[in-house]
Amino acid sequence: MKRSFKVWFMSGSLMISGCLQPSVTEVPSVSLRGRWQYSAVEGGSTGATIIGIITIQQNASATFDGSLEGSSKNAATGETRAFVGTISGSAPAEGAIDFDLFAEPQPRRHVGKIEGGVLAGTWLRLSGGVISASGTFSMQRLP
Amino acid sequence: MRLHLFARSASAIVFVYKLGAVEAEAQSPLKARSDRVASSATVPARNWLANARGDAATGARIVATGAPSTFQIVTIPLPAELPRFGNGSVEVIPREGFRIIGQHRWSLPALSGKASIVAIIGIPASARFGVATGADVRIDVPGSPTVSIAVEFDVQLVTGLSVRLSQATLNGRTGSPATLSYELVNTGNATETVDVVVSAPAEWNLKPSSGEASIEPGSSIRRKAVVHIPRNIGSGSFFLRLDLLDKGVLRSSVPITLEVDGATTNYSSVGPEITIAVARAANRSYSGSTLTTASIRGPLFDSVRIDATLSVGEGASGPFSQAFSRLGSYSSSPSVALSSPFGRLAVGAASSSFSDLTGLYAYGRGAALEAHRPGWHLVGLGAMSIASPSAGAAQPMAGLRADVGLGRITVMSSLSHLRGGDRSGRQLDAMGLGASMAFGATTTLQAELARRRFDGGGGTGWSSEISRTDAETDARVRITHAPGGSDAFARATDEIVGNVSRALSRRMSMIANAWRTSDETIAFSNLGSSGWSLRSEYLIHPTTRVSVEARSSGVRATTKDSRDMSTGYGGGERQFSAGVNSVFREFYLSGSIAGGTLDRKTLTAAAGEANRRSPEILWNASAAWRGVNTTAEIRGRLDETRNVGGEVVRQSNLSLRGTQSLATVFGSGSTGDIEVEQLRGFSRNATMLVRSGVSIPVTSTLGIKLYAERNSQFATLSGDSPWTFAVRFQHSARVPMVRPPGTTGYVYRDINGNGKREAGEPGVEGAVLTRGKELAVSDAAGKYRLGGDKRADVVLDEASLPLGWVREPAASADIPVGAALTAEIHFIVAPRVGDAAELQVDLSGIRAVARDAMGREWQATMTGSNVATFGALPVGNYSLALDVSAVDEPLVPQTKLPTIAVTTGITASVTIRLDPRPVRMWMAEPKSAEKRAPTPSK
Repeated sequence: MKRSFKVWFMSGSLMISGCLQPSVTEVPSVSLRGRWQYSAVEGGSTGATIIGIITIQQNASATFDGSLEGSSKNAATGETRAFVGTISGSAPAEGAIDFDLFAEPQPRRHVGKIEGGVLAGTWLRLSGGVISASGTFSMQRLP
Repeated sequence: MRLHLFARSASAIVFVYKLGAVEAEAQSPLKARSDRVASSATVPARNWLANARGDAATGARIVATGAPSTFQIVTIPLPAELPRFGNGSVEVIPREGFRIIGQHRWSLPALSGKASIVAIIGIPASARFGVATGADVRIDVPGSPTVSIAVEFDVQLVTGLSVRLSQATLNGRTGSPATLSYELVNTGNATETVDVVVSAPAEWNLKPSSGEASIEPGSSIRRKAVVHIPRNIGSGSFFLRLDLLDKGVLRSSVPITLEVDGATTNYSSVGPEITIAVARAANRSYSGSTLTTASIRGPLFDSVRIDATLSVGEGASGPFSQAFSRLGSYSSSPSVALSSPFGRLAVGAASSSFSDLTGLYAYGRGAALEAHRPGWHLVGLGAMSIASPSAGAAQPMAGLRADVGLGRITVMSSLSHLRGGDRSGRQLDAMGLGASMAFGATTTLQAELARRRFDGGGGTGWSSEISRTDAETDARVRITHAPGGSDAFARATDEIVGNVSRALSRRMSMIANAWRTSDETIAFSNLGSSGWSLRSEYLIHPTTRVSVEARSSGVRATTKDSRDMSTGYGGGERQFSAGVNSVFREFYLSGSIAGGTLDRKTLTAAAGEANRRSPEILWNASAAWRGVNTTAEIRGRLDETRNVGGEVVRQSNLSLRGTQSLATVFGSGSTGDIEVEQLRGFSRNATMLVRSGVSIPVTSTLGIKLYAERNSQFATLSGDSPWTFAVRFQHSARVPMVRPPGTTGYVYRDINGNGKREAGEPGVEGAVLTRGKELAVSDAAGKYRLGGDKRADVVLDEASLPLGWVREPAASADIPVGAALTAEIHFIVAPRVGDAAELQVDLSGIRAVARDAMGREWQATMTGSNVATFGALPVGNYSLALDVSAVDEPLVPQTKLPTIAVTTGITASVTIRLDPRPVRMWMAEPKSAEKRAPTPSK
């Protein structure tokens, strides 16, 4: 009984893993590689602001990844905390970017456009499918 | 001549009977006694001893063996020369404590033909180990000296050393002494000499920790040991141990639980704690950063507490901010908050929420007030919004909400003028009116209507919520329409939410949620989400829980864009997961797997809509071990999915954490911790984090923390990740309260039961008293100080009293306690009128209740056919109540029920006479011609 359960469990896991096959990739038209000054403002309740520096290492394909080192400041309490994380994303269309920032238990999804060395857009954080925070962000390329 | 006779009784007792030589009489004390007895003889008779060829019965004894509390059959041989005629007798006379059952005196003629007599002698329970004389055989023959022969018992050894604790559980507070009182009781029959060793956790100061004790049989000695509870431990249960050693061999070991309360509430007149800390962080790439913080936390007076914080320092970012957070130093706006059972006032950083429609989460620099009294509740805010480059200049704002209770209905009204800054666009002017009504004890219906005006518009908002809460179910449904949405201080523009959690059985529970929201903000023209989840948990073992969950959610967002390229995005997630977590002794294990699909949608003007759906698997596992001085934890997470570019992404996180007490190195309270974490899949190379810290309380008021971190996320331009070092010096000091806490009193032993504290009535140490969230422990004199709402009762935790003690009624702050005593009611059922025969009634159904002056009730149990016993009544006077409805025979008390007075020293007892209902007899005329026998009826 236990053995058959193990077999079913492993088989199921492998089948689900097998579904994770690469699909069509896109080629970014803009190089994001480098350092960016990042700032984000949370709308609504806390009004928290995040500032920091994002370092992006662009991959050969349409994806890119990098890291953020910064701090967040709660507007209501004035409390400042470290805000450190990694990013992972892609360029789904020309001039557009879509990336996740992993610095909290739930990632923040950022979607924006790049124009003239400035990348700006909005972000969302979901907790269990519910929008727990949202706001705007901007990134300016550093020399 | 020396004669030894041996015989064996029915109980296998061996005895020795010896007759000493006549020559020895002069030296024998027994001889002298015999002479004195003989001189009192009034009837001289022929001296039978002379016939015994010069022998004498002096110095004679019989030896038997037995244990305390046993009866021994002793065969006593008679001298052959003893005459078997005349007026003499042989008698066995017990010594003090010994008993004789059966025949103990024989006349001389009755001994004719007998060579011995048999006596049954009882050894008392208090007989000590060793030889004890249990009886004397006295031979009286007229004309001869009386002969007395001792019957000696070799009493066997019985050991019985035990420990009695004065309290089942010891109580104390951090930084204070706790006294362990115990009694060593010797219920055996020999003196016990033992070494008493009391053990406490390492680094705790305990005096005396050992000592010798010698306890006489049947007695006891009382001892005390004082343990000083360290200041730097938390609340919880700690354990002491009391060992009794006999020449190094463990005789007995008693564990003692010490409940420690580590709360910083007022124990005596100790006021708030002022803490000043300076933290500095540096690495080789950046110049250092310093952050100074100050806080005041604790009771100011009575139940008023202060919580104030202030920070001065540079706006550190990156690794320094991270290091400060790890050291416990945070940069924050200055604020002062005063709280009491009646409300809270915050000045400085202030925030308030009024209602779903008149404003949530409003904050600024100013003052916020919350006050409540029976029947009403008030919330107020007066502040300036926070100025910032993004929000613009500060704007004034104010709000007020008042709730008034009118029976089952509570009416609520609120008014608000809220701003987020002159450029933020976040604003609201609202006026609302609402009410809530309770239906029964579990259901509440709430509704509100409000006029809302916000940046760019206005409208009427409405909301309604129905909730039901009972022991097994917690359910609520809320529907809200708040024009302006979250930029007008609401959760969303439109929202409908339902939650249900229900315990289906003792082992199984279910949680279900469903929601749909729609909002408009300064950044989004449409921001909405919807979804549902269903989770079930099952307790397969008291320490192991399994869970399964299915959920589905979707989100849609359309951004406001001033340029011609609008952007929208969204997505959804469908997931099924299963998990298990278990706690086994010091081990904690948890694991879960989730599988499903993840949708990501992107909409741009240039490229149109792009949809991507990818399967997703998440694995989570963690294991932890928590020992007394060490904890270790390993945690892993693997997330496999396709990223937005369509590539398979395996993101994993593996961390190891451990903490270790460093008490043996740096002293009590010192700890060290280390954490190593590896992230893979988030960037090209694996990211490694190493963190380590040490906390050392140098003195009770001065502490040092050291911290070091190497984090590849904090990479420099050259790609190097230097170590960051940080240190924090903290000094804490407690200052007296502005005035001592409101209630001072004594917990004392009310010896005479009059409810008044008088001379000679000692205090009770270690009693735990609470009032609301305030807690105090009485000192050695029984004195306590307690804050909290003065109108609320001081509650004494009777579990903190010595075993068997209870609180007695009191009208003042002095709380009398005493040993609970027994009391009995004896019932006598009177015979029926005209019927002398005793009436047999089963009284087991009687329910007897004793009620004190405060209305507290105690119920008796029937401990005999006609006796009801109250097992534990405090000293005092009680009125009685009887319920005899469950008794087969209808009974009524003959007179008014008496009161029962319980006092120390005696068992209170009252007698209640019960009358049966009289039997009425009648003669009924038979309807038929046949005569019937009369029918008795009750």
